[in-house]
Amino acid sequence: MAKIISVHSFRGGTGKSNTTANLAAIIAGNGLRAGVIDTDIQSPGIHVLFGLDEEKMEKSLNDYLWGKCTVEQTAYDVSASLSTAGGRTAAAGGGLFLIPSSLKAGEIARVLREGYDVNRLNDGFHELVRQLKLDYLFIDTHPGLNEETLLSITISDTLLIILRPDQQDYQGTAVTVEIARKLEVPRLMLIVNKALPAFDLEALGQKIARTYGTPVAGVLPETEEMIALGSSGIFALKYPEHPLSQQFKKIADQVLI
Amino acid sequence: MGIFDRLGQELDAREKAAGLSMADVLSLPDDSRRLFNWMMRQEEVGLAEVITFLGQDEATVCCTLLALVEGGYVREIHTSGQVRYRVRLAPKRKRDIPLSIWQALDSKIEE
Repeated sequence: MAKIISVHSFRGGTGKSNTTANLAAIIAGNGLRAGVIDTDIQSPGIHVLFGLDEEKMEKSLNDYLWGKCTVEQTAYDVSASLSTAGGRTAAAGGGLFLIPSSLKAGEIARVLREGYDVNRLNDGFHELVRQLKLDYLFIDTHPGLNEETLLSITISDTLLIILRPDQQDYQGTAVTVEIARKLEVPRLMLIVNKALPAFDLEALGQKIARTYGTPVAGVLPETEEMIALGSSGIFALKYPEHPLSQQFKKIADQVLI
Repeated sequence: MGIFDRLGQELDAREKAAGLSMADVLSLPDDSRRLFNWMMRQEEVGLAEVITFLGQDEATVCCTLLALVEGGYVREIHTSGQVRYRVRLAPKRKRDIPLSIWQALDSKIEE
């Protein structure tokens, strides 16, 4: 049975899209069918990591929300992105699909101005799983708490909350964890990102897990290579042997359980 | 007072609009919220599943579902002669920004 995984953070800039793209790519590389939907309608961006040129983006999630097309018509097969960097391809039967949000200023403004039918977004999540025969659907959310975020948290089998070692992130994460518990998400895990390599990463993870009473799936160190990559590709494919990639794989293994 | 009496009171107290917003779901009493969370996670549910979930008799559950449908919080889906139920979510609200600001934004985008 397909699993829906939401990747969320209370604040922006935590590395949500990067983490989502890496986890989805690793899972697709293992012969599973993974979809990634960008519900960050106000500030989309995950398509950049998959090398999807917005000029060639004929349809987006916005078109589906406005009733112009079916949700599967907004899905792009980006399995090729698995083989462009690390020489890796999707294993037999696997595939990677991206449902981007529009990057056109007018279309972003229209969503803000006119709103949309939230039922259609909810139906779209389930329809994507069926039509694309997905094993995993990753929802890349808008930071903070809004209607889309609460919806994606509610329907998720697993919620991954990303935080940095930062006092503002700590407070916001406490709020998100409390809401996730109210919405009875079956599985909740934290990912600590952008930790200084000088930190004792294991001790940091243990302390955060104790503080929130929630498992920490991984602690990702800040690395020069990730900064240099600048979202121009998927890190775990470009640097498969890098310690950061090993951490992504460790988190992916936990998502797969 | 039963959970659906309390739910009814909660819903009546809200501004009448088609469907529930996610913020509404979050602020429902625990037992009502649990029902909506479950229904949304299932995508849609049949009468027998609701009876099992609530552990109540068929007549009581039918009354509850009827009240939720009439209240606009759940919609009926008729498939192959069977009735299924889905949570009905309220449309995402428009931003209350003065029209002049939208017009200015439109003209900037068109430029």
